[in-house]
Amino acid sequence: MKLFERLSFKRKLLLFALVTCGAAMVLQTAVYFGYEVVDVYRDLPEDLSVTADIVGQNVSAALMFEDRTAASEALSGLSADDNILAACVLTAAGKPFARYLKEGQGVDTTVYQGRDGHEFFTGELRVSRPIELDGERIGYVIIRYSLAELYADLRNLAVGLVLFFGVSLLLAFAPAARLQRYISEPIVDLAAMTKKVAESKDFALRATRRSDDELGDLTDSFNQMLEQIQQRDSALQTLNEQLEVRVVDRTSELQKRTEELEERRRTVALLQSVATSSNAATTLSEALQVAIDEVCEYSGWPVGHAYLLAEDGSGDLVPTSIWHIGDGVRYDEVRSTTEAMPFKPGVGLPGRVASSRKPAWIVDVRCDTDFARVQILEAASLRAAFAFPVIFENDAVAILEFFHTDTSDPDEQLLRAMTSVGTSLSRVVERQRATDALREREHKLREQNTEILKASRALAESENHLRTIYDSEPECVKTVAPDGTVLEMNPAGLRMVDAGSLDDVRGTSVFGLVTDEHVERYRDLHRRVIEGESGTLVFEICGFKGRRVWMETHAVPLRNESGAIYAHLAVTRDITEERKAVQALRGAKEAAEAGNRAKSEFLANMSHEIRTPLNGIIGMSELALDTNPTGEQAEFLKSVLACSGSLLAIINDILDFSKIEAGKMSLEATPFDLVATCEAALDIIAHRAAPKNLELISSISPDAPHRFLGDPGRLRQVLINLLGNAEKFTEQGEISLLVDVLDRTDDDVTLKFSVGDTGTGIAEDRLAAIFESFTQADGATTRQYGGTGLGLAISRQLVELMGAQLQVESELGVGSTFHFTITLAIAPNQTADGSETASSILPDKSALRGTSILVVDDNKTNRQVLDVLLTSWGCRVALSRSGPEALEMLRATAGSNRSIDVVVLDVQMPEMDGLEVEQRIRENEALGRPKIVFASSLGNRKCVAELVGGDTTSAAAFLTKPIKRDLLMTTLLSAIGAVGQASVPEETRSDRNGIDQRRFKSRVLLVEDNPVNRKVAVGILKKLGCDISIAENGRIALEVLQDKRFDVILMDVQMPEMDGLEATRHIRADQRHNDTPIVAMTAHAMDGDRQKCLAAGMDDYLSKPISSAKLRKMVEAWTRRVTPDSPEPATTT
Amino acid sequence: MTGLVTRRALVVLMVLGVSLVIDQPACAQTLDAAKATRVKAAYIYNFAKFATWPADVFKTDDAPIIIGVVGPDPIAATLEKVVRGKTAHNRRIEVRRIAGVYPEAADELRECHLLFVCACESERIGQLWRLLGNRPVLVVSDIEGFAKRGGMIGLALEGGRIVFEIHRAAVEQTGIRLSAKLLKLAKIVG
Repeated sequence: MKLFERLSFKRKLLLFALVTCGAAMVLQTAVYFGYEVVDVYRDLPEDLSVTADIVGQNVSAALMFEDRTAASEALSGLSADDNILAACVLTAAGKPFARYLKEGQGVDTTVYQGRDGHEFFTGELRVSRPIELDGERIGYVIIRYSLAELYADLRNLAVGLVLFFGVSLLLAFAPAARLQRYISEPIVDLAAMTKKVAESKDFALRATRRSDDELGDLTDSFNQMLEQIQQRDSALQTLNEQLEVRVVDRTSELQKRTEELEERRRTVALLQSVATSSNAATTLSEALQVAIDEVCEYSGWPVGHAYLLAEDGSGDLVPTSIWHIGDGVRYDEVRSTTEAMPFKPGVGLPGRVASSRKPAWIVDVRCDTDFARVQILEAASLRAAFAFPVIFENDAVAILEFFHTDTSDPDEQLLRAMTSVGTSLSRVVERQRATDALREREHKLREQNTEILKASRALAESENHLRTIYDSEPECVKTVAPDGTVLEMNPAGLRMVDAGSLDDVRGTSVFGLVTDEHVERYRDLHRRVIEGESGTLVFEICGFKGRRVWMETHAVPLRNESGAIYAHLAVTRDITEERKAVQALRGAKEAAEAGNRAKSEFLANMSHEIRTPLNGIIGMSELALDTNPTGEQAEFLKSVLACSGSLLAIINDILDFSKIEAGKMSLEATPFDLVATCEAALDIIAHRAAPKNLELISSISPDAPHRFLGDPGRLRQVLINLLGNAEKFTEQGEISLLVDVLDRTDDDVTLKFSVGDTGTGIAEDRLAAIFESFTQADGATTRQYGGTGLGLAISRQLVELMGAQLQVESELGVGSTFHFTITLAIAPNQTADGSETASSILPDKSALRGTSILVVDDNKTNRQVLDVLLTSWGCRVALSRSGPEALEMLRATAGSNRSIDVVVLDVQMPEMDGLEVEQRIRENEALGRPKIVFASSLGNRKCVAELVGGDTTSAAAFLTKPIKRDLLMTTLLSAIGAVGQASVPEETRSDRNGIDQRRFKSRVLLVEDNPVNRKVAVGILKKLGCDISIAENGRIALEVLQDKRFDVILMDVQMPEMDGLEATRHIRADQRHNDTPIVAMTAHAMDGDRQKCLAAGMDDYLSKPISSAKLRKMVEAWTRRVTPDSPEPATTT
Repeated sequence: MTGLVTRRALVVLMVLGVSLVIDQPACAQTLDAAKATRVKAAYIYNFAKFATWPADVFKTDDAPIIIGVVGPDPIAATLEKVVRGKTAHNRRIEVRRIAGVYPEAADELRECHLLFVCACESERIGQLWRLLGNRPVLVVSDIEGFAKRGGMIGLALEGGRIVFEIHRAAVEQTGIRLSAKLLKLAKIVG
């Protein structure tokens, strides 16, 4: 650097030019070279990636289909580029799939790695690209590329650039050496001139301008600078002289200001001293005295005097003895005269000042026109006067006057000071007045205090009274501030929270005592109470010693006199013991209920276990009956069947009962036909009632709609139970089922169901007990009449489930009537007026309108029922109690307009039975030719014929009692010729042994683990002609199904190893057996089983015990789906 | 004593040997068959990728490609595994099992985009063509000579590999286009 500094300006310029030029070129060359390299290194991998992608596209299919030859062929296309050393295709898993190697490369031992990217190695570039097909990565292509050629190119470029740099530098030197002179020479000249001026201090010298550029401007500026220095020198001289004159002016001004300030200071001192002394003064006079003294001293006036405003309110000014007298003897006269002379407002100097409330100044009292004391003052040689007021609440309460021995012009400053003195004094007046008022108030307070003392003594007594109550109260009483802190708590409360004293509790947050679970609710209660409500809460606290106590609190807001709430008052009771007792009770109740449920479940399970063997007994007995047993054996077998049937009924009862007890019974809501449901129940009882010759009467109110929403199964069960019960206890007489409409709306109908009998009746004291479980009217009757005693209990509970009460009225020896009233919703698509859909199926009953019908029956109830029903259809109805009477009526009306069209004739009647009556009618034309409809409880036409032996063929129709409504209608319609005979369904009671003997050639797979049940099913199926395969459980069934196909599979549900549900799921998973119907056989009778079976993929459901009729129906239903002549051969794979 | 030990060892060896003789081939055979099924399933999936259906066969943008397996072929289960979670042409692939070439199943068959026909259905192929007509359904089968007989893509075993033959005309008349890459690998038979 030193070397550089020593260089001449010329050389420096030259060096600058060369260095700058050289550096720029080096940078340029380096950037150019660098750019070239970066360009090549960026482009090359991209180009190669494109090549790799093309290769990848070409081999993708080969890779997918694992065709290595095709892949290798695709790769060999790379030989076109000499720089490509090798290439490889990897599978997605990274395994080499195909390779390519440039000729002469020997063996490629590179380990390739599949990824997306490139990498530079010494002398080569590797590019790896994924092969993607439809978004899925199926492999990679890797290409190795030689960089040898690239390196050679870059080397050549570098050499060329260095040569270019050297030549350029040489070329730049020559012009730089010449050009520098134009700059350096003028600067050297200027430097010489500057030196000269500095040495000679001659600012008049000037440099010569040599060129027209910035250097020329520099010379000009240098000359201008010299000129300006000359000018500044002279200007400085002039300024110095002016400054001295101004200093003298300012000094005198300052003097004046200092004097003014002194004056002002004195005024302030006066005011301060007046203010201080007047504040110290206890009375106004004292303050006035001080003020007058001070003013006189301040102003130098010798005489001062004060007037006060008269207290009588006249506004007069009274002279005082407050004086300041400079020379006492001289002014005695003035003093005595003045003190004897009050002034009216506006009169004299004090009067004027008082009126105007402003200071006044008199230059010379001798010249004043309104000055009463002028002579005395003149005598005392006083000349000038001034006065000012002391103003309080707009009144001049005092006037101060001063006199001087010389005449004097008004001094504004003095007057202003006096106004301030007046203001200071007015404050003394104000304070004095205030003191007076205070004294008076103190006196009053003292009187009040005495009264308060008396009142508080009374209050203390009252409080003591309340405190005693509060302390001895057994419940916790506390008050809580709005912020939740405890204000008060009585001893009982302290004991509850285990607090030692009130100090432990007072001021703490009440919420801290409440347990975390309850604190929110307690806060809520507190908030509500503070808002003015009252409330009750049960909560738990945790006392000071950690004891938990349950509390019941009643809280009310506490209000102060103005009605604002300032606390909440709570009376709290310890209910811990009560709660314990309640909880113990609840625990005991739950235990009892659990026990009861367990019992019910046990019963349900037991019933199920009993059902399975029972199934075997029934099935085997049925089969045995079909083996042509001897008469005696057949009797025994029938007994076995009958006993089994009874046992099954008992088990069903138990099952229902336990379901109800376990709370698992629920009612359906499906549309059903009321009449059909009632008649179905009657049908079952009719079988049993027929041998006893009981009248079975059904009367369903014609007003009742047909279709309802409800649970027909359960309703039927109740009716069967009640009817069965009636039948059981009735030896003779009648059993009736009456359904009356009590009330109806558009949507529902209230129905009363009554089941009456003429049986033994029930003693009044047993009436309540009959509905109890396991109980009958008399312990002994159980043995006499049989039955579990569950029927009525179940019925009662079912009726209760339906929302009603089962009631009974009974009289010993006369009979009993059970009745219940339920409200059922009318099924949709039916209007409330009974024009139900059923009527669209039935023939038009209007044809019966006007038909005259004679009902002959010895049973009164039956006659009434038919009377009501037929009348509702529009028939003219005549009733008769016996055959002879009926014949008489027929004779009487024959030929007249009242002639009988149809006679409904009871078969069994005392005196003259129906058959005889019919015969008489037929034989005697005089009785008219009415159509005859028989009604009998003995069975159908054939049965009657067998039983009675008469000829019934001539009768128009035959009805079985209880008479079904629809059947009666169609029968009557056909009897009067309104419909054809063919449409009348003749009742046939299905013959149990008349089973359809059609045979099925179906292939059946029976899956059943119980050997007895298996035998039963096989026996029945064999009889049906089925081809049977057997599997003992689900697993074996699956094996059998491996190479055989079936038309139907009968599947037990509960089996060891693999149950029916699981087996079904397996079968359904197998394509071949997708369509094979699977029918579940189960002894499960609990709800939900059917759903479980269907969900598993079964098609139908057969509940055990299975009978041949049930099984036949099932096989028939399900094998019909299979076309018998197209057995699909089991396909082989 | 040594005699007894030797006899026992012999018995053990014999039992082992017998069981080896019995087990080995059966095992190998099933393994090979299983592998062939897997490869075929993979091929069928690949065909779906290399084939392009006319745009109107898909009702919506996300309608799946439906591959039907006709007849009780074990490939169905394997195929379901192969295509699980995969897509072709950005569509899900759904595998359906179709009982066989029955007229009742016509709608089911026509709903598919690709059908694999089990060899056991070989006698009903004629009926299949009648049911499908020229609908764009790509039919693949391992029935022998399937492609030559006018089937679209036939699979065959050749030199331990599964190769495929394509009847180009049969495919093209349905409007389905097969990728040139696929055709390059296939044996073109018509």
